[in-house]
Amino acid sequence: MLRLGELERAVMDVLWSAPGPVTARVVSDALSDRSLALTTVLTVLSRLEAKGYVSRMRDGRAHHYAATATREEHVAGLMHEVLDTAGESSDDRSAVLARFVGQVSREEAEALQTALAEALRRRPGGREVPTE
Amino acid sequence: MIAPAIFLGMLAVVLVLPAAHWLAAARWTVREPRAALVLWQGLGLASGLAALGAVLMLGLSPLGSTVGQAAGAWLVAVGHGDLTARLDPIHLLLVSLAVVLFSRLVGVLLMSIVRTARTRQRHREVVDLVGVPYERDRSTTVLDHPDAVAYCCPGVRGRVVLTAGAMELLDTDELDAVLLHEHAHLSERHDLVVLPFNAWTAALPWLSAVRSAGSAVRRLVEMVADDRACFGCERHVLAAALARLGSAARGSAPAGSLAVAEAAVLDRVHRLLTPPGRSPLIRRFAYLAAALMVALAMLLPWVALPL
Repeated sequence: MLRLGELERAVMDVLWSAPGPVTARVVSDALSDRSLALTTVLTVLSRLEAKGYVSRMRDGRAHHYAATATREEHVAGLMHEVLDTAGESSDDRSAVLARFVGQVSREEAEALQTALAEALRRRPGGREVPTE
Repeated sequence: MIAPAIFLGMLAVVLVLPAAHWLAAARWTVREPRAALVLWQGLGLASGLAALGAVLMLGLSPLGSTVGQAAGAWLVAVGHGDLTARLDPIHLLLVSLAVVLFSRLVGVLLMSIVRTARTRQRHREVVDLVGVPYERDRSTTVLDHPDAVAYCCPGVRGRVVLTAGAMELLDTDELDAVLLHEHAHLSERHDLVVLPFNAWTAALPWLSAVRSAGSAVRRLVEMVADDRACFGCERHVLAAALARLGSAARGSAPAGSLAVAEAAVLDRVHRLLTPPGRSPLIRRFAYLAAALMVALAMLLPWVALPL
């Protein structure tokens, strides 16, 4: 038995690779190697719909499901949340996510290159400094 | 209790104005970042308590010689159907001011806790849906994005997130060092240390001391995580990782947007390459000072002094 989170991932993967909206039956067939009951797939789909990741449309008697955003759009949204520290809500953002390194200026980037060369000199076998 | 009230008020002013600026500019904090963090927390808590205590004591001063005594007298008066305990308008105003100030500070903090928790939960949910586990550390998630970024999404079930760009840029030793740093943030719950400073910056935007406290604390937390990571990796490996990611981040910063906390990358790299000497003396002094100011601000309203 898979954890719910993994089931949600698996179902989203099916929806993302499908060419268009699909029925729950198609999703469950695509996941046939996991031998899931159709009701399980329906439960996961409705959970994902409640969270806003999946939209449901009626087509005749069958419900069709589609992802509300592509995987790339989701990743872009995450990166926007992480990188957008210059926005109005910068204090909120930095409270939410701690980034390893923030944004740097050109001068600082150059100083960092010098420091990197110094760090690598002390560490035989490290990768070369990228040349530009 | 006028005299202790005035003393507490002065303590609050000294803590918020000269003391906060001194600590924000102090150079020893890079030697003992963890002690500096504790001192910041003590300073924040003590100045808030002292300001509240001073206003409350002035307001309650006609009713007794300590806050406890005065509150008891007020309760007795309320029991007799006298809601204001015959306080004149000025004293009533001071008591209300203390209540409003207290509710605002606590309210803003609670709202900020709820809001950050919700944003983080949503972020983590999306990370779990679109990311793939990193094969060398299953608690880390990899996002397929060309920008070289490493970050953590703190919380009860925190996540460390790497991008494909970061995996491309760093070698495995450097990646491990970055992960150690991020896991230090998560396991030590640095988000909880930073949260009140962020919340009160929003609550008191006109107090520059709160703002500089916030950026100082964010910078110190990074140094603490660097130090913790260095228990598991070489200092210069972490320094190289920082420098690489920092150089790669160039261009993502629009002109003029460089925040103080983020200007510290270069300082962190230098600090890792030439570690400043630790100082047990400063460390002990910082812990003692933090404990002392909190104890003073907390106890003074409740004890009767022969003043």
